[in-house]
Amino acid sequence: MPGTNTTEIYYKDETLILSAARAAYWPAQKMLILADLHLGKTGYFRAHGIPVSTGVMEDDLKRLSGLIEYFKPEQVLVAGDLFHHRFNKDMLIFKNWRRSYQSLQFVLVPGNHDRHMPVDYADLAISVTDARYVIAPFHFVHAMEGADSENLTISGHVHPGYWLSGKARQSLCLPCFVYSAHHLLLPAFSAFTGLCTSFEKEQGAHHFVITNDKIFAFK
Amino acid sequence: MVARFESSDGYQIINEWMQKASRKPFHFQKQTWKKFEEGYSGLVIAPTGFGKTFSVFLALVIHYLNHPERYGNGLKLLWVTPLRSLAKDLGRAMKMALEEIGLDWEVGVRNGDTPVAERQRQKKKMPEVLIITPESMHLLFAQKNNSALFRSLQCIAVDEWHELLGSKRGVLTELAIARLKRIAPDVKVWGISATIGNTDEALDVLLPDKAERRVKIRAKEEKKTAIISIIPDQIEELPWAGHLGTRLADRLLPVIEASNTTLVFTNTRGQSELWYQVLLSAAPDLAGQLALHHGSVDAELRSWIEDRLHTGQLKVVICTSSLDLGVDFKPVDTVIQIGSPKGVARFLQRAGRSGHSPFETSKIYFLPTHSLELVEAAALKEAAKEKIIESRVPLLLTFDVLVQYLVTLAVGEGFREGELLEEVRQTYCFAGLEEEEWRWLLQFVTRGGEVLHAYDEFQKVVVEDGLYVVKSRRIAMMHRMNLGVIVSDPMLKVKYLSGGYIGMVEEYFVARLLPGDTFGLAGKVVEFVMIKDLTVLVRHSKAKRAITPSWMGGRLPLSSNLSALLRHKYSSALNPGAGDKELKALYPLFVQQQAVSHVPREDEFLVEQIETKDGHHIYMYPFEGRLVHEVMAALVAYRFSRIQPITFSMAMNDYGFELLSDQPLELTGELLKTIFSPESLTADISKSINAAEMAGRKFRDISVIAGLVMRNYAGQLKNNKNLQSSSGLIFRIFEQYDPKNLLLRQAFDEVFYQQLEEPRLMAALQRILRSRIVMVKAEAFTPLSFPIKVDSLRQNLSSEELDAKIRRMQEEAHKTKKKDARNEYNRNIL
Repeated sequence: MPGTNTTEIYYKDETLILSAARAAYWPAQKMLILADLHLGKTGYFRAHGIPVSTGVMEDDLKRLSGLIEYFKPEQVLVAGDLFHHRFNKDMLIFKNWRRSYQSLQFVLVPGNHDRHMPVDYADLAISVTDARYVIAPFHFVHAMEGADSENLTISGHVHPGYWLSGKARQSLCLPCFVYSAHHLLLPAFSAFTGLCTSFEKEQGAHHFVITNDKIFAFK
Repeated sequence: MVARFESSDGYQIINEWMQKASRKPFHFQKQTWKKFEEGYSGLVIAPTGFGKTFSVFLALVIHYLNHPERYGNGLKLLWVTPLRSLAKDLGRAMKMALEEIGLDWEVGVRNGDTPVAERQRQKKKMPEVLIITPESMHLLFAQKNNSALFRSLQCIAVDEWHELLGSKRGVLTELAIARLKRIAPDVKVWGISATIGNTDEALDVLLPDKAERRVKIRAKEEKKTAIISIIPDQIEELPWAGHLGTRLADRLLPVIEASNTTLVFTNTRGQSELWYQVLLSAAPDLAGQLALHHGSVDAELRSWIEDRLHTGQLKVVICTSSLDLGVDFKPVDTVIQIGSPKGVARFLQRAGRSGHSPFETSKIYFLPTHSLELVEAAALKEAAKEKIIESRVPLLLTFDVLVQYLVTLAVGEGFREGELLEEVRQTYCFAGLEEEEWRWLLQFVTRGGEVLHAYDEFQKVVVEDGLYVVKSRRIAMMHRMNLGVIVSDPMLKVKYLSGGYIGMVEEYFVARLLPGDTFGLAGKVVEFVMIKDLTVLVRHSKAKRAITPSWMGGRLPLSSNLSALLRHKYSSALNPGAGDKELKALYPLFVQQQAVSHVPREDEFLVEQIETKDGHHIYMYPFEGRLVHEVMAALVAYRFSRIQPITFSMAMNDYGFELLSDQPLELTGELLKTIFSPESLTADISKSINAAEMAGRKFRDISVIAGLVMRNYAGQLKNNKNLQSSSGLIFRIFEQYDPKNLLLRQAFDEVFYQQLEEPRLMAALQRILRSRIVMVKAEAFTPLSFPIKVDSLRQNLSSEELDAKIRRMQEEAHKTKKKDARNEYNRNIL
């Protein structure tokens, strides 16, 4: 997106562009890759008496639109947790949004959560893959289990965060990509998600930390 | 009039009953009984152990015996206590008294520990006396038809009012009183409190209506307290800095030996874990008679320990504030406080845990963890003598509690807005509630706030024919489960791989552990294996030392009373004739401070500048406590940086703060006067600290209390998995999408008034401006600056490395001192 930082990583002969808008772009396949959109989470909270503005989800979708305009992908791949939980009216907002991108393919690599969701994916023009979806040299899955010796596993689920601590005991936790020898962990796309800092990572993992519209590398 | 009361049937019966047990009522008890008979409400202030309970309890009994016709069936006395642990014993004592007096009353207990069957029985037939916590009282309000339970209520007694006052639990109590007064208009309200600095205000909060017949009764009896500092033979034995104090462990053994049962109070759980290990290795024969009691120790184990304290089977219990309050343990005759308790009230409270019966002397030993703490000991002694005890500042407009209360009532019988507004404004806390704020609160619980989006699905409170109710059973259930205002960090259970429960640790502590790391818990050293099903699995470790979880909230701020006394003590420290033993012992240290720098007197403000290879250090000593220093350091740094571009790193302790920079700064008296100016204080504070981040931290509790974030009950998490979110997330969302949210405003207010203590900061700045400023350039760290330096190191080093480092630095300081025997100091007094 204009004004939004990107950085490139390389795996085998492929390039991936990591965007500070919390998604990755694979130019060779014209594929936008993201995870943990949690659509409908705001509505779910509201229905349970916790007031969270729909604006949160609208802004998530705006950010996604921005990415689509910038990279002009042919397909969007969501590595799990597209919807939060059960159907609610928030999803109608998504349905409307989806209509304005008719030619765009939408692929969902489901977490076990997504598969039990009472959502008519066909109606939303979303194709659902198996739990593991491989387009060499990448292997998409919602939650990382074992490493794949052939391909780089790209997953979500964790909502990774990175602690930055500065002087005078100030510290800040920010969303990040975590890139290591066998694994690229994606940040949660939705802004309405928490951050997890205690997850297993391989030795020598690189963190690409996201501030509002910048991306910084930390080893 | 007195004669007439004393000839009343009720008084006669009670007097006779007391005489049989060869007891005589204390004057304040009699006074309370009489005032109660005359229809007063009030506040009784008496030290513990002098029959506070019986002052109010028997007042009601006498009144009943005199006027049985005024009493209906069912609940007569509601006894509110903040402590669950007290309820059982209290109930037993009341029951026994009633039986001996010959009254066939039932005494019930209702709190989180009460079994469901018992609760249902109570609902069918209320006991005459019900001992209850503020939370359980609100849970009763969340039941259908609860008003009927309180129709014949005659008296609400609020025990330990000083504990509740100044906390959100106190606000729950205020709200409950206002409601019960409406249901039973003739109900009397009696508070019972220990001595605090603001007893008049305590009365006003309890009984805000000054037109009411209300009275303050103060016991003349006094609790005697002996305070004994443990002073090393050689002052050099005590480190200049540190917070563990374990070097003096040997000195405790004779004290423990000579006592029946000893309670050892530490300020943090980590410290208590460490002391457990230290005492055990210093005196291995204590094994089996030594126990550890703190909030992370398994509740069952804790009550096992408490039982053995009652029966005198334990020789020593190391504890934290977990044993500050609660039931008296008769065998306890000695208390030891490790490190400064940072407040007079807390210190005396702890002392009072020994020698409990009236006229017995409480005995407390003070073990300093570093040398300057001996000055605090001297100040504490003086405070105890002069009865300079802290105030408990009541809270105002705690919207989170009100949000919770609105939903509580809506879950229960429902409420009507006009009526409820009037009732809520009867409380001290919400007397100033604006119409507009009230509107916002109603909108918040019914529509999710004043946001533009149509919250079609928002469901919490709905309005039916003007009655605000909760319809959804799920929301009602979640609300009951989350009710209350005590918010603790999410805790995880710790278990051995082989089975066997050890205790709880905070989630954030575990988050930083790697498999193979060892840590201490409940006196055991264990090795972290993994987290599974929200349980921390560990195995036994042979490691001798282990990191101890440094639980949050460990650092208590110095109260303003104590800090004023502290400045006073420093003033007289160089007087060889100083009366205090502690100051005498410290004399060599003060001589050194004076030699290399200066010992500030009461009307002086000391600024030290030291150059080291780390850079240019500026130390300032306002003696106002860590929290005030945190803000003051940021403020001063900000104001310096406005004059000249400069970056500082900051460190602070209770005595002063450090600003460290890589650039030199030319200090003049003139410059300091502008730096400490109270002008445009609020604006400068806002610019110098990250108020939003601090407010975000305050919002953690607020969001839980207001029901925005579900409590993290170990084991129950799964039910609410899809509603998990963090307060930080909600805070960000509110800031961005709902900036006028009153709960956000509350978070900022809490930062400015409670955390930053703006009024105290203002007073401190004015005092500094009035002081004579003494600026000194020292050659090496001084006895005063050294502890601050060490404190700043503590953040990145584990405690063992730190110890070694401190020793090295101390040696360096001594070396410089010797080298510089010529005392060539650039002293610059203005």
